[in-house]
Amino acid sequence: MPENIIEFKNITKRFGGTTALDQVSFTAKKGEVTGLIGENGAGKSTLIKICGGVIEPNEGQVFYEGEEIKIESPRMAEKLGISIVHQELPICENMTVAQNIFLGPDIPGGKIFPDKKFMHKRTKELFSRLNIEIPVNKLVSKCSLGQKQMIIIAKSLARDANFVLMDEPTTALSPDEIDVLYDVLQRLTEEGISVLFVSHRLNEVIKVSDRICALKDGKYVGDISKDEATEDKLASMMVGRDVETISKKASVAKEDKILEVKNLNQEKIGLKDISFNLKKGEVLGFAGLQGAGRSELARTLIGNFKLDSGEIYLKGEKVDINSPKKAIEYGIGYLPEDRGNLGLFKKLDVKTNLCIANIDNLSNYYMVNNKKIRETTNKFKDQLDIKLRSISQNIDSLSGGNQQKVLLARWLSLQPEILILDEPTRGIDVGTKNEIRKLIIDLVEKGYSIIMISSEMTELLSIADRILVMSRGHITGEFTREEATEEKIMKAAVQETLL
Amino acid sequence: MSDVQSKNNLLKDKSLQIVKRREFGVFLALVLISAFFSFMSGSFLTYRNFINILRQTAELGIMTVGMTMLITSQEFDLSVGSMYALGPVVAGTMVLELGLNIWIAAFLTILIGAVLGMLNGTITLKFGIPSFITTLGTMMLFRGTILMISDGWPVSGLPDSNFYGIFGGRFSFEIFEGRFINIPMQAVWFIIVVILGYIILQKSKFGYKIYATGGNREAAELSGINTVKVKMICFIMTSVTAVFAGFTSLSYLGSVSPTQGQGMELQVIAASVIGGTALFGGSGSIVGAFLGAAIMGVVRNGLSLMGTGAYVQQALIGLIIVSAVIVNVQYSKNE
Repeated sequence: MPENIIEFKNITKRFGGTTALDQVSFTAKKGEVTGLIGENGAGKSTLIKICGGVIEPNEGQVFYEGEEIKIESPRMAEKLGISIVHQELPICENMTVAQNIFLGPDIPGGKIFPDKKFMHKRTKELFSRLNIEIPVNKLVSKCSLGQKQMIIIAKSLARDANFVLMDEPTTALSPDEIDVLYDVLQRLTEEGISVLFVSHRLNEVIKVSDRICALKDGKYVGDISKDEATEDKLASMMVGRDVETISKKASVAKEDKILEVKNLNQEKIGLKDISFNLKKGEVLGFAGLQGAGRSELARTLIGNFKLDSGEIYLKGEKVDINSPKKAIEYGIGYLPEDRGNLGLFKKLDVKTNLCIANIDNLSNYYMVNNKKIRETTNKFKDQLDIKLRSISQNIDSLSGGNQQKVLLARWLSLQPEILILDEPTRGIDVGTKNEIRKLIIDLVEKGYSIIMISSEMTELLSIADRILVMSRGHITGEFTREEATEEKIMKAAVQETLL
Repeated sequence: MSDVQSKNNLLKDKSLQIVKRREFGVFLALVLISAFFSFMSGSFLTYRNFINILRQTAELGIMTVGMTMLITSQEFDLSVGSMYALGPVVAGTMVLELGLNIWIAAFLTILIGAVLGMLNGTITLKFGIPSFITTLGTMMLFRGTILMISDGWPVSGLPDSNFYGIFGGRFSFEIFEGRFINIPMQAVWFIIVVILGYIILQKSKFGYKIYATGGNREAAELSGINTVKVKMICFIMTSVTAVFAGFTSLSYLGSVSPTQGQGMELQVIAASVIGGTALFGGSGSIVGAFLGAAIMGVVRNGLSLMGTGAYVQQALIGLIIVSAVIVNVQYSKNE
């Protein structure tokens, strides 16, 4: 029996002038979880696409289960037993769990009618193999993201997959769901199914993978076994140099409170009795598990959700912020967590995306002033070091990190005093993450006051001056940077959950 | 005892399921509207009028079945009103000018309808033009063509054939000596098309694929479903139902005007939407479509019985369409 499920030998793939994969030799072993890491643009997705038969390499050989093969189409990949679980789950929300599992050209049943009983029975079997419980009749639109992912995995099992590729599977999952996913991956390997686990989250990659491979700029860097791997080692493999740990110097203690929130309640979204303050020129971190109410709090502060009771003071003056527009007038900017849906105008170019919030000031009377727009965009492009070909380039063609910089610039152009950043480095590669962190430090030094919501402990511990922890809509802990440790934060984050 | 109890529970479950179904909201709207008209006009709630409504709604209803499947697959067809006139005009012209038998002419016209549906589908799917735009164009193209063919005159004076009886006559049977029940054939065909549509969309494997295509085209495609083919078939079914509806009208009236069915496309879409079909695809039901068409028919009929003028009628129908959709949306929200 061959040892490798898939082997790449000197694979090269070029798109026009750019080389996405350059002489890459890579293997994934049978019955193991192989981790694959790399920055954006390192060639991970190209590698996945070759496995999935979406594109064909220009040079090199692919061996599948020891035999040389050309994967010519997605259909052929599926026949070989290769299954890809994409980051954005392709699933029909309007159909039931069982229907989704058997969706395809050959739905089980007779010539005309589907066999529902069989489908339900098989789905239950598949779920019990994975040790998960989802009602087979449930409408997928009512399933959580984690459940949807399980459905997709079960679907690949139903199609006799023996090689499952997972592209950033944990990005949007809650910690509980991630645990379930680990458990499922374990079961898959026990059944002899091989897994390729692609992720940005280094600690997770280490946790699940037996062996971890890294790509950098289209080249294969090397592999490392689970036992040897540390986050630092992986990060330097990805970046190709030692990654410096960004850390903010303790800020000069300023006592003027720029923002003060007193006894804020919002019943509908579950915010209870929230009081805190933000001092001028500090980074106030918000830690907590997903669903703790951090983003909801942020959106309540900017008037996106109305508060039931409570008071908000800006520089000692009581204010009534009842709409995001009002928040902007008061000098509060909010960079949302969900870049794609709440931030970007995907069909528009960089300069429009950057200037849209400030369009009133970049116009003469009612006519947009293109010169001012170009000037503003170029100014921020230099200031934030946004990498782009042209300011008229479509925003969608930028990398995640650069998109985030454009959104940050959008708010900076409004010159707010308070910036609320919701997961500012989520889904961004390691190198750019640090750039954005540096930017945040830069901003507070320039006098901005920043609220930073983050799920990354290291980020909070290295940048925030103070950390507030939320759980189930309450604030359950407050630590200065000196006091804070991962354990203390975690404890506070699960506090209410345990009650 | 426990057996009876469990049976009762089962019954309760079943009835709960019915109430929970999306179509129940439309049904509720239909009942409310009917109750209103029964109250306003003594002749509304009679067997005769019931059959009358069924006949009047048949053409709209038949077209709504095809449209519901198409909208569920996330496409649109604005050319059905023209297609509804095109069918009988083309078939009638074949009979008059070429001397063809009406059966053969009708068969050929159904084929032409299928091809034109395929044209809608090809323009939309191969060239990536939104079906709304494609069919806005073909709507005018088809209408103009039949006006040219007929020179603007109604097509009439067709030689006798059993065809007209089968599609537009009456289906009578004796229940006991001397007492006959007469059901207009249009109503019969309406019911048949509804049942066929129900089986295709809600029971068959192909129906699964329609829902999948409209629900998340990418997911369907990645699952190996040929979504272009699915949508194409839906386009064809929509055109064919429109041509077929045209035949029932021709058979009933004995003639056809090349201008008939103008504005009908919007009524068909309205009926479909009243029936709970989501405009952005992925959700729709034939039972709902049937009820939606029924609401349109009942309102028109009821208003006529009340002696409302044509202008007022038009305005009121618009109002009722919106109200019915609100009732439906509110109902499914609560659920």
